[in-house]
Amino acid sequence: MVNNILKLSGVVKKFGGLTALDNLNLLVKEGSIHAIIGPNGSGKTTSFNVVTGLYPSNAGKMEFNNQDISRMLPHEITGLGMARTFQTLFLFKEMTVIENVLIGLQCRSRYSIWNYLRVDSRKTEYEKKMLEKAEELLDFVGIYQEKENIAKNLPYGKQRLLEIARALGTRPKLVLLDEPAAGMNPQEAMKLVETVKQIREKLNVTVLIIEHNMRLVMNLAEKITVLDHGAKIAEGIPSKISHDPKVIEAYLGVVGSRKNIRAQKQLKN
Amino acid sequence: MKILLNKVKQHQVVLIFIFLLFTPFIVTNIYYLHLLNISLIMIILAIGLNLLTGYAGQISIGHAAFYGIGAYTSAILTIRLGISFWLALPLSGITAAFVGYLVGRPTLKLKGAYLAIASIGIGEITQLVMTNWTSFTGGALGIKGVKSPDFLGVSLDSDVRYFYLLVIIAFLCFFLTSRIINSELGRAFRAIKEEEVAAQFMGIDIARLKVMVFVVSTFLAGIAGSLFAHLEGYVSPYGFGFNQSIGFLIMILAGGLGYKSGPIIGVIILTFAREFFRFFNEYQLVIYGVLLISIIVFMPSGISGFFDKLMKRLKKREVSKHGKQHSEA
Repeated sequence: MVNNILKLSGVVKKFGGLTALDNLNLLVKEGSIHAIIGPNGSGKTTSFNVVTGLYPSNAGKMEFNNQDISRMLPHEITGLGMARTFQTLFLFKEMTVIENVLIGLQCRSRYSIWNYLRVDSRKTEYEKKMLEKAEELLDFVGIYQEKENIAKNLPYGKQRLLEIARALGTRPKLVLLDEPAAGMNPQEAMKLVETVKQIREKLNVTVLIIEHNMRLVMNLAEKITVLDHGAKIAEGIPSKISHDPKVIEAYLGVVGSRKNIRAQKQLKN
Repeated sequence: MKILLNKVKQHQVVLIFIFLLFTPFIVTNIYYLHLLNISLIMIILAIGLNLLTGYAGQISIGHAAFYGIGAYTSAILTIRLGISFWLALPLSGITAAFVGYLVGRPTLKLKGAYLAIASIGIGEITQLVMTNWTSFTGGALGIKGVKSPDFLGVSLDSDVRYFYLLVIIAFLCFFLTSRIINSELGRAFRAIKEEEVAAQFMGIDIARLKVMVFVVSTFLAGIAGSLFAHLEGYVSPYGFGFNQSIGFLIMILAGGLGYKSGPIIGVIILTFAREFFRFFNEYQLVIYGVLLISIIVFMPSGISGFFDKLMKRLKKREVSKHGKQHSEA
């Protein structure tokens, strides 16, 4: 029996009068690649923000690795082994590429000031090890050659890869990727598919991904959850989801042949 | 030549230290030496402020208040309670840091400019307490008769002797903050400055680290204040107000935010520039203003930043030149 690494039950998030997440239930299996899709404004990114602790939820329970994380702050959740990337990039822009990854790697350090004032010969060795790990991660996502560059000078696609490397640096059990292929050209997107697969295979990290690029999602995901207006409208394997009338309706409105429309109206009634 | 340069680079800290040991013999004008002493005190404060603003990205517009708290604490402890300077010095730092903690704890939890606003408030409050609580602080007259410290029976009562004390303390502060800056902790501070949201997801407790850096910088301000009180021999409410706070900010800005040498260069150049412009009489402040504006316009990343970038560019050119020679060969 496979564990559910992430379990949301009845999660509600309201912004004033707007219900961004409406009683959301979600199970993410350990070791899977799970995608969340949905039209714009359907609450995908909000769900990430609530899960990772950036926004407090109004109701419901969230469990990560059998631990209640409903009231935890982002840095505490990161410490438990959940990492994320951002749809709108949030890199440390003025720092070098490798420094960005190093910050991810040091996420479990106890920042006590005395530790750093003391002279300790083990420290240089520790720093060396960290550097090596950071280089490994950059190599893993394929931007090793950029390691000394300033992050903001990278092309957009590579900045996205750097965000992934930085997130992986925190040694997560689960990584949430928020539209990692946005702004990438087709070749880069194809490479990204490979990278994401490797994240699961080589690093044993569960992946929860939001993506608009349908071809990429169909290629990657083992299970897809579809959101619309903050509620789950469908869930299942890709081949099923792509033919689900509710999903098609959410994305395109009611379109297609007369027969389709009639069929859907019947379904509703 | 190159070997020599490399040697100089390796031992630059030692060389600077040796140079400083001989400074009192070079700067024989006692007035300039006094000015140098004041600069060293301000450098200690500016190092802390640079850590706060240049590295962690938090702005305090009331650092002169913590400077003043340090000065008054030291004056009151040594005169009223007869405590030795060597104990009063760290206690002044701790008192300032404690007030810093009380201000920083509630305000740094919030995002945005709350620390800046609260620090203006604490600056005004401190000023009012200094002027109006006459029985405790001596009011507008301040407290006179702050004694010079003794070191192994030698009274550090001249500017020359005090200079050595200040050099040692300033070096210590510089070294310890450099250790922080070069460590993971320093990297975490910079992460907070660059992108607070992302820093949280790198496991950084931003509220705690911001309070930490603020407390460190107020501690250094308190130490500087104590040293100031014992150099001048008295404390009064003047010189710890809003203008002085802004002055400190301008110094680290001109020196170069987020450069280790920034506060040192900023303090020294601006302090001495102002003195040399005295020569222009009533135009002194005008010329000083022109200097500040030109620094900001022509060196937006400060004097240290400007030279750092210049050196990097020169190095790059040298590398590309070498590359060309190789390809020609």
